[in-house]
Amino acid sequence: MKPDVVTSRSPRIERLKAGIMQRRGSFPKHVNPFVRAVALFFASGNGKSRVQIRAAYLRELVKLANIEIEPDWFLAGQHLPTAHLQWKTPDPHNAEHVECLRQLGIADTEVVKVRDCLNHWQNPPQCTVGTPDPESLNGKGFWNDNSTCSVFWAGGWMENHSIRDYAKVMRIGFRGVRREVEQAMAAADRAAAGYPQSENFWLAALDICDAGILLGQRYAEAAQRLANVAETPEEKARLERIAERCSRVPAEGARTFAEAVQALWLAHILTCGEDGINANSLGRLDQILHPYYAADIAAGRLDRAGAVEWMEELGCRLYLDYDVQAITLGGVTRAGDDAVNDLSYIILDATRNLGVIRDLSIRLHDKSPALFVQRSAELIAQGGGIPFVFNDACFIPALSERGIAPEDARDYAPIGCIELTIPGRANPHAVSGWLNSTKCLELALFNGKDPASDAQVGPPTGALEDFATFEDLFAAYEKQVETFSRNMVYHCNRGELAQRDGGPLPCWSVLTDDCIRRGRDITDGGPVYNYHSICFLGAANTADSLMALKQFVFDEPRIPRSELLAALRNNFQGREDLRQMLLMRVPKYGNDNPKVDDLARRVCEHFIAVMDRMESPLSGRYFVHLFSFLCNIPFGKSVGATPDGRRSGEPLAYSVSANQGRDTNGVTAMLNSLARLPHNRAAGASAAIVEIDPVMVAGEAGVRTLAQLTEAAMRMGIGQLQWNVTTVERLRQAQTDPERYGNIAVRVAGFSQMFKLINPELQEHIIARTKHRN
Amino acid sequence: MREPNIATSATGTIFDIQRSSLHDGPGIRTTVFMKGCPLRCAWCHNPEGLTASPLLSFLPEKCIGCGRCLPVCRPQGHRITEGRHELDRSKCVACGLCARECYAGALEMIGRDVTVDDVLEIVLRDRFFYESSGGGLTLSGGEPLLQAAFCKALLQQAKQVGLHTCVETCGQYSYDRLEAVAPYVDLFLYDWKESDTARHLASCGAGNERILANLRALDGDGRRIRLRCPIIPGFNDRPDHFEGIAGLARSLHNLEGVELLPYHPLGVSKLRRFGLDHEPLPQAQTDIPDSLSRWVEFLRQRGLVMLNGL
Repeated sequence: MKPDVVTSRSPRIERLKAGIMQRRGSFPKHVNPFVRAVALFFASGNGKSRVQIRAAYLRELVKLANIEIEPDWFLAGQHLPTAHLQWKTPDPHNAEHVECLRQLGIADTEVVKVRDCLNHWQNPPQCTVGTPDPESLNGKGFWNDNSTCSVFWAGGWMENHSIRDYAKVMRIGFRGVRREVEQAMAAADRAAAGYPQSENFWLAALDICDAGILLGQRYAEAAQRLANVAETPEEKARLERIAERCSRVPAEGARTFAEAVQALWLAHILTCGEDGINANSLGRLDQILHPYYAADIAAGRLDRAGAVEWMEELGCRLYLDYDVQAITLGGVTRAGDDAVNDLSYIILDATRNLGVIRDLSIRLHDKSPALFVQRSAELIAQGGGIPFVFNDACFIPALSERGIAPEDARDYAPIGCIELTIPGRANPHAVSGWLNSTKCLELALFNGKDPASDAQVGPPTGALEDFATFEDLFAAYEKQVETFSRNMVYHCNRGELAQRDGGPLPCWSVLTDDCIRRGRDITDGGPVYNYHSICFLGAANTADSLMALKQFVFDEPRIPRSELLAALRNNFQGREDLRQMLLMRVPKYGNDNPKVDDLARRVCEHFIAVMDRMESPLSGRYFVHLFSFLCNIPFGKSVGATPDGRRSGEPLAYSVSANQGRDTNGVTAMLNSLARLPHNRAAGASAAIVEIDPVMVAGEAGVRTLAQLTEAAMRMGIGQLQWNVTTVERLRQAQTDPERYGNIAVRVAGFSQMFKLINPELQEHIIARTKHRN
Repeated sequence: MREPNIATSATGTIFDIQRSSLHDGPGIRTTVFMKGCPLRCAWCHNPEGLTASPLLSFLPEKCIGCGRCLPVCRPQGHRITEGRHELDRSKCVACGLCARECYAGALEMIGRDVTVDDVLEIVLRDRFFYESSGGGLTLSGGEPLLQAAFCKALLQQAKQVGLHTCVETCGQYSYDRLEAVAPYVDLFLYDWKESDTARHLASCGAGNERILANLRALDGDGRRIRLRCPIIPGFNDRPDHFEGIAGLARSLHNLEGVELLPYHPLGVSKLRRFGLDHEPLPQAQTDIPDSLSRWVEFLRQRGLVMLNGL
């Protein structure tokens, strides 16, 4: 099979794209600023629990939302106000506010109640997790914007980093899901000890299902009203088809590809209405849509070009300036066979045709079709940094060795940037915590004290002068990491409990196994898999620094320890010669030098082993992301000068890429270094941006090279790759003339974005990372 | 075939090993740049390869003024006055002591002696990429076959471990050098710079007769060949030269195809670093848009297999 490339984009799609980019997303034109407050007001009261209020709130929001059927679109649906509107508290003395509330059905005398309701919601009584013991060390090292001692950050509270079971909505609709809830309730024993807790959730779940059913109905009615007065037969037909589709889905299961796409989009809107858009992701789109595509093709209802156009339209609907709604293609099926199908190619085509920066990933395994790799390489070579590449050979074992059933592990997909989840079956607590390994090394050099403030932040593990061997130093580093890891986990665990009390997410729960069967919210032990994923920051800088110490302090002691510490404290002032020596005369991670690469592997493996021993209150495990997002910049600010020659406050390296500009031996050397890291133990995924000169990937030969490099990288066991096809010269041009050149897309940190939309500090970091031509 | 009378040598002088090379033969390759060249082409873009012995490169803008180079230079060739670092090249004996002290990389020795094992250790690191792309090892320079004994040893070893091998060569030497390495070379990247021997002599320091004779002999021995022809604006971008390429190419039996190389003015900026008094090309002649695609088309119309962009 060699699927044809569908290249044309219809004038209609051109118009949709222009319109959506101008509006910066699928948002309604007119929104009453108090609609969220009023929905909450309607949802509250009558002794409802927090999860029930959250569910009813979503239903009320669907009722109150402004339903607009836009011209030209076949795919109906705009985001609910939660996705883009802040809470706004009404002032009963403000005539404008009162008028806005009146439009939402609130009598003037009730405005004060709406205000009180919102205040009450936003300032709830203390939940079971109070403030920590102020005398304990637990808060020390917690990230703070202005602090020089940010060692970690911990949340434990998770919203919108998910892939919900849209396949189920397509299959049985919200009515089908409602029946599941009803059956679970009917089958349960009212006298069972856990029943009241489950009932609390089930009642909320029913409201979510009703909200889903209502959402389709409202679009169907609005479209039908317009169809009745349509001026042309074409317009009438378009509107009637929308009405027909929306009266079917997402209430019932989809029968056609078009209904499936419509069901998916409305389910996505509902999801984002609960906890925002951000990283609410779509998952394995080629897999979940394929049954409908195949049936339509077999029945002659759809052709390839038609499917491409639907995917282009979905791409338009998803458009955001900052887009981390991930779609994943390829990989293996739940049974372990190659999963690439016609739709995989169709979605690649649609993404390329659309020419906007979509959050698109591919999964590769040892039997991925060469054509799929090649088509993906063609898209990468265009320079938008998409799709990014995930290696099944790494992540399936990483997940299945940590308690995920093999068939579920084979179903993994990235959320947002690179964080892994099991679609429809997990609460992955993505980026639940962050650990700054380079700060830990700095503390290990100064006896646990922060050299900038002299505060005792970590345990006293000795100063550099005290260590007899390199291994003594490494043990001190490990002790610092372990101490702060424990503090971080403590805070993540508090977050998990706090969310159980204060932040249930019934819509996510309804679309995640086994919440309905167990009668438990996703924040309360409902999902099949509950785990936290922790970002490990600064692996490259820690390894480069350890290498410098090993070489010049321990193996061939050419730098007196006190001299080195003084230079670090003074940010190398007056010691540029020493900085250059550390920078230029010590091997750096990213250049295929096993000595330093093995140190990078060792620090990653150590952290993974530490996290493998941790547990969360709701029987969760701790997985590791070898990933920094953008936080290599703020966390870098809290780290003083380091023995790798990095100056105080400079950004740390991105994820497990080399420190910006230090990989000078070519792309194959960078890949060889990457391959030495334990990707197959990073169950939260690893991440690396690898820069490649556009000249290298120009033309057919260039695409072939890129495909070969990618396939080789997979065989070598590299987990994740984001190719950034650009040069410093091109980025400088974009910086000086953003109007003309600023539209180029660059890999930022697990996502791509238009260069001109990025702040100047981040632009500089990206430029520092990028290669000069020649 | 006559037994080549060149022995093998375990050490050679190189100035760079470049990994991830994509333009020195098929696939992803590692290119070893060797020192020394018999020609003196006006457009040379690798002037660090001209001399056989190591030389000192100096980039004053990288100097941080630390002064560590001053005491180690016995002839006292370095001077730093008011933050300005000056190098008196007439005193330089290329001992490399100053470069060893220069952490900032302002002073650097170009050229080092290596063994076959040193080179292969690096080359073999990218084996994975060669296998997936059909790439391998390329010897370039300078003129690698000025060190034919080392090349022979290196190529022999490379073939023993199953690498694909290319040699990029200018052809200006006695034929026994080619004969010595040919059994271990999968593909020759043979330079053809100028069809008119008088012009060749004027701009490269030698005529093209010997180069042509060696090319024909190599072809006669049944070796795989790619012709590599640089386009040098103002020197050889003439129809008669490209007609010459077409005629030559058609007369060869083992030619895989022809590759045209666009001119990069990179060598000009490099010259300054080595203090070489080599006459650079005038800048005005270096930028002629579309010349590559025009000449590719010119040769394609004459029935040649063009390898550009493949």
